[in-house]
Amino acid sequence: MRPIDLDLNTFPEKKAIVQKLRSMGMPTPKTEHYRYFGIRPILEREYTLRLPERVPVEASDSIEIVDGVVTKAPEGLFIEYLPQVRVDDSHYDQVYYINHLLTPMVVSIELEESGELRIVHKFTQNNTFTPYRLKISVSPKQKVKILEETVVVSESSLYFYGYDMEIGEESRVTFISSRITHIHQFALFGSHSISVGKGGEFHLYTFDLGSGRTIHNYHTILHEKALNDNNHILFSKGEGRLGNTFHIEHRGKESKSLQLSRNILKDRGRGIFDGLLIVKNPAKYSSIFQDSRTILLNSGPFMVSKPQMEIHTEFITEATHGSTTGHLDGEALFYLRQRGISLEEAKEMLVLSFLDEIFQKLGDEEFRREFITIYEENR
Amino acid sequence: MKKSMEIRDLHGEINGKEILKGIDLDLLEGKVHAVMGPNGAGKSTLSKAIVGHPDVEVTKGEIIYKGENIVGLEPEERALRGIFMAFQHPVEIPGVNNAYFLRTALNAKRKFLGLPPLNAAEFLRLLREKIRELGMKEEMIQRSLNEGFSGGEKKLNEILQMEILQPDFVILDEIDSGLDIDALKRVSDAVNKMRDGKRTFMIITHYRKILDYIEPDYVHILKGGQVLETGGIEIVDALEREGYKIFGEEQ
Repeated sequence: MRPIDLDLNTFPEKKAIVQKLRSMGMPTPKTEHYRYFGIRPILEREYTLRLPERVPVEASDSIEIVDGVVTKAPEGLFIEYLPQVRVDDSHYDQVYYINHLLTPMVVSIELEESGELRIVHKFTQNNTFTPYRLKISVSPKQKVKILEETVVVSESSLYFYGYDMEIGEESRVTFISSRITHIHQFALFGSHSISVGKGGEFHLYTFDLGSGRTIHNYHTILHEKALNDNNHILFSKGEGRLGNTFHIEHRGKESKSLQLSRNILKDRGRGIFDGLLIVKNPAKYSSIFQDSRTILLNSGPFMVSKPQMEIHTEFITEATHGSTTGHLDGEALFYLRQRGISLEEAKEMLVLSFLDEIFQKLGDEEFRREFITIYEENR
Repeated sequence: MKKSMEIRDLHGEINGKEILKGIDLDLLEGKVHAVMGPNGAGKSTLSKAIVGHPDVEVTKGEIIYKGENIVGLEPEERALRGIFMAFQHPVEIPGVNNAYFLRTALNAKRKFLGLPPLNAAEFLRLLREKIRELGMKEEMIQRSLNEGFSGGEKKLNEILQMEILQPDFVILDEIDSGLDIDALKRVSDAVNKMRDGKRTFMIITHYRKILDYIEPDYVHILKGGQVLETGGIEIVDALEREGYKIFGEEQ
């Protein structure tokens, strides 16, 4: 990628970000959370920088963001365009800071009441590099469901995006993200910062599917009695490289984090689950749990599974982590086939049963059916 | 009498070790055949060879079923032709709903037979009727396949599958293992109800008890990967008295 000129006199508030980035250095193929993602060919490609602009917004049921530009939004939704928002100063991902540095205006959304919000990201440009960000603030004691969807038309572009999310005290946010891409030259970097207030809950469900390249890096901060419940389904095929990395920081006592990751890989697909749970000293009596399981449908794929814990307190209620990678259970496959079910259908049943725990938790039968349909169309 | 299955000079290996060393066996239509033998005789390997378990490599011989050598067929192709095995240890598959699994299996068979598939309502009616007949709990319909089932429930679930799929050739692989007397009687009653003079049963067992409930027409003794003796229930009586040594030393 060509160097980008940024006039910091025009954006003086971004100087601190430059300082931070200078101390971290730029992401390289040796950066731990990008080590297995294959960042070099993505960054070496030639792109034209395309900065999103503000355009008139059409009324719609959902927020539609086309190449970083908000084009549609529900009436009455409070959206601001801010040149800069407060930046998480302890994020582990350089892309988070690059993205903040380059994004000319952050789309800021205030959710003051309980409800549901659908956000559709459309990626249509070719050979461009587009950075954009959203900030979502949820007022205390609200219950919000956010459905995120990506539509990829672009064949060869790079997008940096991400959320800075502040979840108010005792609020519950369920974020369901469905990210499907089949274009190998398309790359999406999501770099997110989530702060969960006292007694708040952040339930994240991600569904990554396809043969493209997407990576999402989450830095989550949990305050007292806050909960982060992460659930990930990943299906990487072809030459796909799909990943989710996390630093979940327990800063308040009695906070809780759960991570379930179910990965299915085929062809030469690669999957990344790299989760670090950090329990700071004040976060006494916290509970942490990680469980990553992977099924390899043939001998070509590669799974990077790194459940990690860093505990700085002597008082921990629960700390469990585990990771398994293997093929489909041969005895279970045979059992189904002995009942006349074809090999392909038997595999399908076992794969879906493998994912069932997450769908059970989500408890949304309609979404489950939709996902299964998408999975079956794309497997 | 019409043969349901003819096994000719069957040799089979597991992990390169020859277990079946030339099995010759006729299994007659509508009859109950008990297969007994000491540990390592090849009973389970024989049943696996019949159903096409990938662990067993058939190196020689034939299994003729309905006039066709099925040795090269995939497990599901054999199942669709009417061969059913009730497993000694049915696998638990969390997340696969019992009813969904059974309907998929039944509709696969119906498709093979050129019949239209049963819709969910039609299937549920059939399933409820069979569950009632077997005295099973209706909640088993919605539970995951064999997950958390007791030993008796698992074996009954195997019988339920048999009732739904109506196979022509049934292998009961040590179905009596781990069952208490009551459960054994329930399973045996269900099997006896399915004896219709056409369906063939092959019961693999170590013990006489199940044969008190499901009376065999023939008893075959396997030892060292071969059939040493074929006869009636009197063979079992002799075994009870003297053990397998009456059929010679271990090969």
